[in-house]
Amino acid sequence: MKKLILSVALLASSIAGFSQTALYTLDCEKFANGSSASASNNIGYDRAQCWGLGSFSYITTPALLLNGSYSGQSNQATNLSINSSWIKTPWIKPGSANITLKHKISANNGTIRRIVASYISYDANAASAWKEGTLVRFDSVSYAAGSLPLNLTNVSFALPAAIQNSANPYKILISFVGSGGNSRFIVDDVFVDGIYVSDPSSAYCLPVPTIQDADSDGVADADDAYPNDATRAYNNYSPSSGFSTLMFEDLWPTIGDYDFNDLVIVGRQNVVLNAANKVVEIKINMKVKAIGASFHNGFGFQLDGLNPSKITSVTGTNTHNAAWVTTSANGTESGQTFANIIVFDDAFKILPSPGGSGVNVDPANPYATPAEMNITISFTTAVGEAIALNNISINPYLIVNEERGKEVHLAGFVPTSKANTALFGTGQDATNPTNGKYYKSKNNLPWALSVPAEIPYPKTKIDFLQAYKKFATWAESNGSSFSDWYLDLSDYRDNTKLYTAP
Amino acid sequence: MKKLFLIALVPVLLSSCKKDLIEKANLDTTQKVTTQFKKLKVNENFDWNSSSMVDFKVQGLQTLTTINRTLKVSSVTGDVTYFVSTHQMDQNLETKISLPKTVKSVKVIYGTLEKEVTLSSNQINFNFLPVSIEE
Repeated sequence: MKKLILSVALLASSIAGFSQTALYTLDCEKFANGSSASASNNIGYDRAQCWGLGSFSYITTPALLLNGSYSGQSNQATNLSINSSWIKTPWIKPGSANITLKHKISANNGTIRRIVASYISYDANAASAWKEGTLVRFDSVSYAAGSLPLNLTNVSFALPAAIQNSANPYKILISFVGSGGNSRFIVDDVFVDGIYVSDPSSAYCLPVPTIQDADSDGVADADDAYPNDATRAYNNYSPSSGFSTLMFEDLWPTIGDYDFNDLVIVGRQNVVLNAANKVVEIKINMKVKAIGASFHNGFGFQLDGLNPSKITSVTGTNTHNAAWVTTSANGTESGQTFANIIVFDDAFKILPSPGGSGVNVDPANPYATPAEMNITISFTTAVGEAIALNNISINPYLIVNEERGKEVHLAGFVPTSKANTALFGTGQDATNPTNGKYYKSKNNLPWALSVPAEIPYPKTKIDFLQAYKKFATWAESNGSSFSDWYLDLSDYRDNTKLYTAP
Repeated sequence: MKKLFLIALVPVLLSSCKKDLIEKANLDTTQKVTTQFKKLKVNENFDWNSSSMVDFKVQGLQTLTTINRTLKVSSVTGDVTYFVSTHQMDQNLETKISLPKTVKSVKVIYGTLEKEVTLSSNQINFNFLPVSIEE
């Protein structure tokens, strides 16, 4: 089988920062990596490389093939319009060699069969999305009934002097036209001499644009969140706007009142990548909104699977010299297998009570403005040490009443290496590391919930199911119903059961 | 090991089709809803997370010149960005993206190529074969 690119000549010069390559011969045989050869895959590949193939298909009929396993086929050549069936090159800077192609007629019928060669200039101001300008017809070859080429025939067209070796982009249009009968052109090995300047990442295959890149990091200014900082390029926010919500019960391993307001935190993270897609830093903006507890709970998170040495610094945490908080020079908790950040050791020192029991859970008590924190975790970007976005997996947890080993994680999330595993399986907890079950009760219930939106939480002692009316159906349907249970939709919430700030 | 971003993603799909509404209404009227959390009866393997880690797979396309562009996964409406990075067009990519479970389709954008992709088996599969065909 005839294969792959005929002419791939890398040239030393460049356009808009891109290396330049000769346009390949259209042999109908190529297909994308990861797919397999087929008429549809092969024509899809050539179109993805910006060849235009109008009313033109690829065939495998052995009796019709000109070369290899696939050839091209025009429509029935019964129309003299050059737009009836055609091949159009990507945008190229033309060379000087002749255009050549193999062809024949599929059956011995037809009054006229003709191949017409034209060129098209680029017009950035053209109304069409394809930005095609003036079309100039420059050559053709015709056949009449009785002299149709029924066997492989080569044809050659000289490129017009006006466009030879031009610095401007052009397309070459080869049209298959005719009248009478129903025969088609069979076409193969279309060679057009030129340097490929189309952009396959452009929806309309426009010429490769000049990229503005002030910091020369390889990311266009238009896409670069830090256009003047070569060490940073992209922000990956989650959520894109607003906050997500974490809600905890703190009586683990025994069950509580399921109001899920013992500690309520909302937050938004931004994983900053450089132009090599390596993580430069994680910025977390969070607010401690409520404490429906008497315990002095701490809060932290583990970057699952990440060696603490990957982190160069941590800023923005707020601990108060508690003896159980020990940190390494890079700001991570010492003695851990994976990187852990203790964000605070005592929620009441972050969001002090203005009076009454708890904070912001009982409307009868004074309101406290949620306490905002901004955590920045910086990562090594050294070659061979830098990590990718895929390596970031944050596992938040509550530390019960400053008892370091008593961690409360989201259901299914692993403990840190400082968790007191002797507590597993005690009380109502059914954690069983052997079968991968973590922080679920004997009835498979959680001690913490995470929601990808900022939502209100129940008032103190109000069962979560009374406030969120679709939650039970979501959980008991195994997630198949009301996966949007947390949204503020009609009859989804009982707002009288939810705490609202005054 | 289960994994999750601390701060997950904001859902934006606020609409549901008429059929869904009817099904939900039927659920409301025909099933007794549990009203106490401790009495919930859930599957042992139920995932309590309202977001999920979705596999995002890009099939690279060999190109004649090196093409590096920004690759973005957004909501279908384009107003919420779930993932953004740089990508060389001839490279394959396999990564994970955290998406709210309410998200059923996303838009994948590369350069000026855009495709709407429906999640299938918790995967987003994208290739560079063209959407716009000149005929």
